[in-house]
Amino acid sequence: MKVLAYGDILNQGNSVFAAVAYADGDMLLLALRGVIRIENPYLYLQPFIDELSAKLAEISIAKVELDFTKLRFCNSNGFYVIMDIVEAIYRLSSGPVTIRRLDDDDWHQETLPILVDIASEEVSARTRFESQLEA
Amino acid sequence: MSELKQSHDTELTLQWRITHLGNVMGDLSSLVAKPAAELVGAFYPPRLAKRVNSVITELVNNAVENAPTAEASVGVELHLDAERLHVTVSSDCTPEQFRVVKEHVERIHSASSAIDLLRQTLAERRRTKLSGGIGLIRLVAENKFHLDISYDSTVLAVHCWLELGGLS
Repeated sequence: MKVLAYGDILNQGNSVFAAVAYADGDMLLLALRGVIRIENPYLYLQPFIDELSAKLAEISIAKVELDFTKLRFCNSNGFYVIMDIVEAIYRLSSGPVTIRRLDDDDWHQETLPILVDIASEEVSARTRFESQLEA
Repeated sequence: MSELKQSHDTELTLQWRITHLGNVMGDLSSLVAKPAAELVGAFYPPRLAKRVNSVITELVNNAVENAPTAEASVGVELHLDAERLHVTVSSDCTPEQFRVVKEHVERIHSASSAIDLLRQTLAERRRTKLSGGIGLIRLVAENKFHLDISYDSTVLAVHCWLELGGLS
């Protein structure tokens, strides 16, 4: 697997959130870990979004897995960042998208589908949710 | 009755008051929300602890981001028992700020679907590059909190509560 893009959020020198996008052949795996709590997450994550978009424009992705199961908290300021990341991936890839999320978590069950824009027919047709209990 | 009612006789009451918000050097919402959520999680199921994390984070963030002066203060009160979770966050607020919050809360209360309102508001604010305005909707749409506000000409109190029997 090859790392396409990496971004993180630091709090007092410690990484509290990390986003990593890997390519494995024609498959893209995006893993989000930690918490988004800061007032303006774009300060840290806009470079990640730009780099990911640029890399995806250069390669062909036919299958996507988005893993949110290690994202433990996201404040409302982080919603737009998630929307931007997901939108770029859907726009710059083709094929099915599997979204891994937590079963017993309000954000994962109620808000994440909105941020993914599951109401869109195009998104809905490509998307399958897989829920799991928190480890 | 959900699992949240299982043998939960423990009552928790927490109260903070912090003045001079302009002096803060860390993420205040995190510093308050995390220990509260951990304490709740020691007695109640994780899903309720996560809701405590969400409500304190969003309301304290609002208080800090909208503090009218560096000397402004914020108060957080949490009470939890087997029947109900109630969180109130009080903060200094100008009459102009209160009018905006009041209109926002009225919009939430008049919405036929909080989830649809969250979807519409996210789309609008993302398109117009406006920040904020999502936290209160999120608490109602995502976390199923009841919401009300009160104002005494200088201090805004935001009340959020949850009947534990209504959790699924």
